[in-house]
Amino acid sequence: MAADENRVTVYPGPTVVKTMQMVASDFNKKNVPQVDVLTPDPARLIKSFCEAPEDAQKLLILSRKLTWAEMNNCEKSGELMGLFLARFILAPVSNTSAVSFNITRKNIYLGIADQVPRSAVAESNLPARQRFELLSATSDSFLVNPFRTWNEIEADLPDVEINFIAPDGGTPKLILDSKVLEAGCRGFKEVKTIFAAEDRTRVCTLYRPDGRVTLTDGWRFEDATKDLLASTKPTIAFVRLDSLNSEGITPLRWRGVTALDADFKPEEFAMRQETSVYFFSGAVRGNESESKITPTAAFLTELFSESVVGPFGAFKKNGFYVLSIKDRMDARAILRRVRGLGESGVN
Amino acid sequence: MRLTSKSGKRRAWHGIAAMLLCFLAVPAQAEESRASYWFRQTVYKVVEGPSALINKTIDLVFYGSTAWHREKFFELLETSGYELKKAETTAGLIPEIKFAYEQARQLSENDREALEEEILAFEESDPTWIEGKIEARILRFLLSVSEMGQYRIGEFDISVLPLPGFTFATMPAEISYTPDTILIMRRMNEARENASHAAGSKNK
Repeated sequence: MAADENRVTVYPGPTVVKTMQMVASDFNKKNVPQVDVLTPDPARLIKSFCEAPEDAQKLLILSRKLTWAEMNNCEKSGELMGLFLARFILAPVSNTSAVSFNITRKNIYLGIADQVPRSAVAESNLPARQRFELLSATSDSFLVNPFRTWNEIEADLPDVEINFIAPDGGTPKLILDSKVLEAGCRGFKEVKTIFAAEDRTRVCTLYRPDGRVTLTDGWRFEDATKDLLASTKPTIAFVRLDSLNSEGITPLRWRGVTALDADFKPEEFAMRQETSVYFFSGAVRGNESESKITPTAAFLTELFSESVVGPFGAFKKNGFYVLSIKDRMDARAILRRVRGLGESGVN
Repeated sequence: MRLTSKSGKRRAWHGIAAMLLCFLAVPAQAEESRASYWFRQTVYKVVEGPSALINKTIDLVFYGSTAWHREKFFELLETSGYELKKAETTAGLIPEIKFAYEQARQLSENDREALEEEILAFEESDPTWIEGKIEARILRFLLSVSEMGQYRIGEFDISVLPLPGFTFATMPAEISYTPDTILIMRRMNEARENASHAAGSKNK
């Protein structure tokens, strides 16, 4: 084991830094292994974690899952394991009760994309003459976004100007791109004909540049709520669940329910990312000849305690949605198995 | 009676069939012997068995309780980036149905994540359904190959009946997929198929 055997280094993503600092500060007060929470450059976060020595006591905590390629690159330095801690959920809201409607991913894609498929314009609620002029002007598969009001996209939507606050990076942008824009765009036949994945992603996730989309700092997503409340025009944005009760914010319906309704199911809600912790199994198991618990295992045990991931824990206090009791119990059981303990927690 | 000619054989079979029909047409008597009843039931089973099996199979594929699953499976194949190229059916006691797919688009990381969730929901929709498990395996395999990056599956065949089957060939992924390259690949495939059809008809 490394010389600093009583220290654990945590590599947190920007969305979870605050939560991890809170958890580490409480942990350091009462435990011998001390936890250092780093704040590396978000762009180099995963690389820094993976490049640290294999036997180092370290954890990577992200508000999303690692991709297959990222896992594969990192696994070169040992067996990497991941567990879900909580959920990061965004909900669509508007800054005026005049804009409270049932919105779909397709509506949002058509509202904020730079270019929209030809078939979407043909089937839209634009005036017939304008539609004809747009379609006859070019034979291209994608047209510059012509929609100015939500009602022009679909007759059921309100006659309100399109204004949107979008994140420029971080997990919120990842959620908006992957769970909303790409998902809303995937079904169009013009999109299906694009073979290369990166070309399709570019077409689907490029925001319109005509001022209807305002960018906000994705790494500090609480700013989205402030920007939304400051906007004088009717505007739509995605905010964290803890901002839903803010005054002046109206949740939009998504498949008929809002995130404040009793029948809202977070595990089925489209705009979510699972906050995950990654660690090397060797750092948890430690040296088999020594029976003592490794610092990583000790901190992980704390991380999965009810005071951190429970309904009144640190994650909940910081705007995350907690996992179900069954999922939390399952995660603890997996952790015990990795440590080489039985289900009951003893050898 | 000695049967020598083909028409003679046919006539004899017609006679047997007529006798059978007469036998079946006679309403069952209260005093019908056990042997006669058994014979009648056996004949019914022999005549009705295969047609019932075929009807059941057709129902299962197109209208039955698994129709939703089947439709969803094909939908997920399209979500995996593949499109139907041709379908082949072979008539028989148990008909064979085979679909050939070819890659129409690469999957992005987001596509993969969405597909993974859909496969899970598909699999969990009926945990006792064996065919569904096999189909979910096929979808997961396509997904895992798309993640690897070094190889890709350009084309594959899926057989639905008599049991789900999967035949595929991998190819290197480092081909630049310009529209021209795709067109050339499609033309080459068509030419290869035409050649194999021509060879097949010559052999006949």
